[in-house]
Amino acid sequence: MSRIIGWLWGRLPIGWLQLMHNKTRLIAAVGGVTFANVLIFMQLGFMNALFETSVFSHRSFDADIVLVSSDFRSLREANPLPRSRMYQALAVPGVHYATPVYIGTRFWTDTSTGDTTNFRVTGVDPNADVFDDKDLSAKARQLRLPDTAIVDQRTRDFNANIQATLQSGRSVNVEIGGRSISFVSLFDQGASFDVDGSLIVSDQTFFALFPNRRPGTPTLVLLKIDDPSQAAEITEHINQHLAHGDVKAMTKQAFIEAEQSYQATQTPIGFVFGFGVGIGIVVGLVIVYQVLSTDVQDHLSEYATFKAIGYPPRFFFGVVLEEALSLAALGFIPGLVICLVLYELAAAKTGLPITMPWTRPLFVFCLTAAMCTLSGVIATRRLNAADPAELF
Amino acid sequence: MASEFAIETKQLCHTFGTGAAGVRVLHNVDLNIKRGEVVILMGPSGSGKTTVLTLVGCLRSVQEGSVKLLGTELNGASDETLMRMRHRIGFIFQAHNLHKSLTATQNVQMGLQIHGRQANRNWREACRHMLELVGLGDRVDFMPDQLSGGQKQRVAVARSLVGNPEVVFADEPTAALDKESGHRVVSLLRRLADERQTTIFMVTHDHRVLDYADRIIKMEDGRVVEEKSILFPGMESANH
Ligand SMILES: Nc1ncnc2c1ncn2[C@@H]1O[C@H](COP(=O)(O)OP(=O)(O)OP(=O)(O)O)[C@@H](O)[C@H]1O
Ligand SMILES: [Mg+2]
Repeated sequence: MSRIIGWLWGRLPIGWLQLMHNKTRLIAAVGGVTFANVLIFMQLGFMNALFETSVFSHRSFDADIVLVSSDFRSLREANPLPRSRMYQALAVPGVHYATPVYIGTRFWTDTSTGDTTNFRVTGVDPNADVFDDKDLSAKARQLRLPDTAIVDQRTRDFNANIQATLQSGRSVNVEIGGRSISFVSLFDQGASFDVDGSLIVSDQTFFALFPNRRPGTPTLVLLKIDDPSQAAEITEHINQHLAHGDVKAMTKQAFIEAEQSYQATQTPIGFVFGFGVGIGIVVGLVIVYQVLSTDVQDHLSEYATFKAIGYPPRFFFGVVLEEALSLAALGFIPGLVICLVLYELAAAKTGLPITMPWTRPLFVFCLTAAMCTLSGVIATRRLNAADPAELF
Repeated sequence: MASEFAIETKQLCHTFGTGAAGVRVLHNVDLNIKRGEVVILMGPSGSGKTTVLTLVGCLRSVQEGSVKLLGTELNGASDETLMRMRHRIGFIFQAHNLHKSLTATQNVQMGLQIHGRQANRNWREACRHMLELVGLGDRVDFMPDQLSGGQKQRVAVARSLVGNPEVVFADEPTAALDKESGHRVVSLLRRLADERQTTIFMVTHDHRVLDYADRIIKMEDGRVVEEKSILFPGMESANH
């Protein structure tokens, strides 16, 4: 290893040799970096799960443009909009299809287990083409029967008996909001931070479950256009055309991003995860700085000797940087491995999609390297200022 | 070369501390040391020998007076200039200051590496040869912790000589050495002066090595009080 670095650097790998010389300190330092990495990875994992799960429903819709009430921030607290806007939007050239969607949440207590589940209920026209997933749109045809629902099989802690019965093709009767509802089929979506799972019902069943919601006031209107590449222009036209100010049109992508930005900036949970990443960075910085500055302190007279021999400041910075990056790399690898295991455990426990995209290790490593470099810069400042004779 | 003197100081003064707390430890020190000369600086403890050496050796910024090292004025010189001058000199310190994580050879290599990749071509032979010259040919891969104080000191000597310096500054190089290795180190310095015109400026209390010098300068309380030339340097000890 030291041969390789030495060959690359064109000099003795002093930083590396110095680190390897004091094994106790090395282990403590690597442990610190690993810990900081685990912290950062876990927070990013949860934060990403928050972003992903919060837009599961958004993504599932087959639409180019979405109409929402003009004060839209998040699907969870979206206000309804007048259905007449749907017809006005249909009149805009290029828009060829529109369908309303009704969204609300309902608790359901499973009488066999006593568990309570918080469902997001999505009411759709069973004859319409609502979902990207064509199988799901086909299943939605079954909802023409009143008081039927399709249930998310990845609902958090979903009752296995119900799942098995549904898989065998039979339906299950439950009581939700004082109404008898029949689960007729399963679909695949997943839990999120605010709801445990999803139900898809017909618009008629939706009104039965939410007596205060009226047919004329959907939560969303999904629009499809002739040429999807013109989504931005047509969105603009619709917004000009619907000049009442009570609704706005967004491209599907903008709709997803609006929700994610709301989750990141406006919810306490988004803040908590961002804060967690910050803490991880600070912990890492403090530990690495502590190690590097103690190390510089311990080698001050040797460094002074090198300075007396004529080594320039960048040489010392190079040595400390070499140590910093070695620590970053040595701490990163176990951190990554531990996190992959923890991700599996957390995903299994929460039903959240906690996964490791390949960009994240790259990002965290760059962050770790930057954090270590910064510590290194701070640690060598004292060294560069002094005359060699004052350092012996 | 421009100047016949390797080291020239005029009215060199130095003060530690500032204002009322300032203590002047050097008073108008004038020195002229020729290329290839071996000069020993003596004097009681606290008389300012190390201070002179560090000022002339580019280890401390010159405050007052003039110091010319190899023709370059050090008073007011930039960091860049000081660094370049340090490449041309060798320093043997009172404390050996070997790097504990490096082997003897690697420590010596640090003295060579400063001269760039070109100088590093045959570094292994160069370092080994230097270690043999100081009598450590059988200890090349030892870590400093495995060496005695005197052996460490000799590694430090090898480190400062391996780059072929034009001037060698030595601050009590024989303090930690027994009689034999002391003589070996100082006679090595003497040989460098004779064969390569290396200038040697050395502080020592060690009377055993005085007769290797061309000249002995005595200091007291920050002043030069006596200069004495030696007619046949090295003769007396050769008879030992
Ligand atoms: N960094 C410093 N700060 C303040 N005073 C110093 C410093 N270094 C040396 N001195 C003072 O300067 C004076 C000369 O010190 P110097 O180290 O040059 O003496 P020396 O002749 O080398 O002595 P010795 O033979 O004991 O090594 C002493 O009085 C010492 O106390
Ligand atoms: Mg001294």
